[in-house]
Amino acid sequence: MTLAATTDDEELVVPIANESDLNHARMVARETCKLVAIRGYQAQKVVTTVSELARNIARYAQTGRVRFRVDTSDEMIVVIAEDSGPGISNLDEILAGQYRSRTGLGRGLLGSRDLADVFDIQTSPAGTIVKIAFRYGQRKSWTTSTT
Amino acid sequence: MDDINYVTCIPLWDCLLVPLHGDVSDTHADELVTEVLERIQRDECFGVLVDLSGVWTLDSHLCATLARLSLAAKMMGAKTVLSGMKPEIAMTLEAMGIELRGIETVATLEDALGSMGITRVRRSRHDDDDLVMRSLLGGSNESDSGAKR
Repeated sequence: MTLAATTDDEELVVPIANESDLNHARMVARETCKLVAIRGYQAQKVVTTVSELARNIARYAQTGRVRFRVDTSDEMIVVIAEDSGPGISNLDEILAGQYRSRTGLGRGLLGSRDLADVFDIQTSPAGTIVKIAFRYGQRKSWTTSTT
Repeated sequence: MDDINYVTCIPLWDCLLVPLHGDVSDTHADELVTEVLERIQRDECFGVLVDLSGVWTLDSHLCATLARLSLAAKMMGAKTVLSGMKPEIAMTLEAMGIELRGIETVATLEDALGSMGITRVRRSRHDDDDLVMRSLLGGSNESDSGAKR
């Protein structure tokens, strides 16, 4: 398997263009969890969230990327999923739990928010950036916000 | 279908045992639905046992696919039971608010078999001796199987 991920100093970037890239993103998420020695439920939350966000990019934006970083000072795994797709016009409806997708359960983005310790989303017709973070140490979490 | 997306369907009496393992891709999940439904019709199965013991991650899409499989199988007269979900996966789905409504889930494959009415009947040593004697005398034995429905 060819790893298309690139490292930018302390960041690992996985390009997302189609469904097959989801496996790659999940694999990098698992490896990142191993790196900070988290497993079980903690690791499952990270991998599942990455899977949801990467699928959203592949399905709705066609192209984008997922960036992984370990913030050792705050003891957080930071994941940024970004794309230059059409944006999410019904974000409020989705985050209120009132949306049900034709293909899934409509819980991908909402579930990601519930799983992550930090969740921030910014969307516009120029694209979407979702920033999530998971605590792997004992420090207190940041706040959650949406734009 | 390539090797990675190969769907394993094991005929088990009138049921199909479908063990999933590793990282289940969306393509694999779609192939799974098609293959299982075709096998239900071809093999005249009344039950589908999907074992999740080896699955690494279960996200909302895979859950939706399993729900779709269960519903379609039900329309064809077959019952679907999920078994072997890992605790961390169950906790993650619960935290995400995914309930897997309409799908029967049980702890182990043994429980799934029991749900289909397949139970183990333990033979005594005395029965084994009878079986050997009958074999030696050239007789047939109808109760040879260790499982009974």
